[in-house]
Amino acid sequence: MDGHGGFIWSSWGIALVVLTILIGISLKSMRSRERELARMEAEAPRRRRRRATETDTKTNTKTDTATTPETATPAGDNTGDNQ
Amino acid sequence: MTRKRRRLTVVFLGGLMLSTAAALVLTAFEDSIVFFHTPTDIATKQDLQKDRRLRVGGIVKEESWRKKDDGLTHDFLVTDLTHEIRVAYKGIIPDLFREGQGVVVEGRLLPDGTFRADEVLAKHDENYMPKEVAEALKKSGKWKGSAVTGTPDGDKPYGDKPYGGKSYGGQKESAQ
Amino acid sequence: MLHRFANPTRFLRLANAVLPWATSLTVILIGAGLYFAFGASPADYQQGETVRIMYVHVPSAWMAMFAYAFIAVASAVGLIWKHPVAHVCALAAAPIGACFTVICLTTGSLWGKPMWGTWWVWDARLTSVLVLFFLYLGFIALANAFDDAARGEKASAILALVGAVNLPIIKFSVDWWNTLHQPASVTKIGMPAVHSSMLIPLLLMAVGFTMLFVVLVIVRARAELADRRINALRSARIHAETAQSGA
Repeated sequence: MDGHGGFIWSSWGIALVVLTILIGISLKSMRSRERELARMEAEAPRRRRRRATETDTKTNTKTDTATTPETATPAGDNTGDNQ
Repeated sequence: MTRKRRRLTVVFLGGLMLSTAAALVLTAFEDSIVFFHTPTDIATKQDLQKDRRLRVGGIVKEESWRKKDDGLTHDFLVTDLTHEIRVAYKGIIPDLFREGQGVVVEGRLLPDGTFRADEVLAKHDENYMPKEVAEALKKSGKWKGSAVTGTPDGDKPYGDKPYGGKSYGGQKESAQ
Repeated sequence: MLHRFANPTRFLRLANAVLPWATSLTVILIGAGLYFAFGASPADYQQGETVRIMYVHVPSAWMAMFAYAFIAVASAVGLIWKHPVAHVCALAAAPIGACFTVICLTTGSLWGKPMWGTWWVWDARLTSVLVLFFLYLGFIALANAFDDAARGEKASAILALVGAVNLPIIKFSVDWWNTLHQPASVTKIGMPAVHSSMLIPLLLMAVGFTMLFVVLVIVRARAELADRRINALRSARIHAETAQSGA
């Protein structure tokens, strides 16, 4: 590569490393936060239970497949109520 | 509603004042923001002729580059097509340095009008193409005044504007 | 239109519908971009093989600016209309923009050494991009500097808006002042300054990076929304407990 291969490969290497770290951290924090939220909602006080029983059970079984819309929706519903 | 409108007005007016301030500051400090001066600047602006470190940018004039046998001592003309300046340099030059290409040199202006450079940077233009295409363009005469060959389309190879950090081709860039 | 997505539920519903598409597009586009960048594109007539750095440098630079513009718009919407999701999106985009800026600066430096003959110069383009990087750091720091989350949101949103003045400076620095950095190629009118064989990998990578940005904003926004919900639940629980013990 013209004797400049080192520059070319390190450019792409740095881009790869930076983006991999970013993607890794982002995914990891999303999974842990959503898992924590699902756990907390499962043991939520009764007043909340009454309304959210249906969706809560769904959330518990599906926590790991975080990309499905069902998991995030109940979380979002509650966020909307509270703010 | 009125509150929202008030916030909107504050943000808008704030932005307006900020941009004005930025524009004023940038205009005021233009001389220190420019990375290099053109040979025309050197010829016309008195304060640039004082003995101080400065950078000069332009195009390496065709057939002006001479180097000694040691491969380190270089001598060439930097031109903006209005004025030119002789540059003397001892050191390693970058890969992209060639006649007809842009260059920025850093050093001092000597009393005899030559410029003693201690650093030479090649300035790349904004054209990207494979070698074959560049050659085909040159052959067909469609080469639009790039600084590379110095085969101009007309007497003004670099457009109407003298070289000064603008597009070499004299073609305007569109606002994105 | 905007009001529809101000609600976190609606936002998440839309985001989750977009996510699988954006993810597959990211993989396909960046994959194709890499193929063209290394295999199916020629060496440059001046730079030789070093032109291949451009295919990661230029899209990163665009993303660095695009992400900041996104943050500035989201901050304005958050400040003026008080949409809660706007700040979440701005906060989610900031580390992504900062990463693209880092990639832009390092790859630019790695291109500059063999081509210009220097790693770095303080010309208007390079300096203004470095300022952009510090604006990102400032935004992230300010957003997390306050105990009261709403205050951090407001302060960081104002910083984002003030810093937006840097965007036109970056874009037009190469036209307004003499710089070592070359002027824009892709947005140039007239003879295409970038040959089509080199434009293909450039644009593929650029759209691929944009899709990656969308994916990452969604992922990070989901994390942030879940985090806020957790905090809200915790404080609600503490409230409930203190109320009980008081009664």
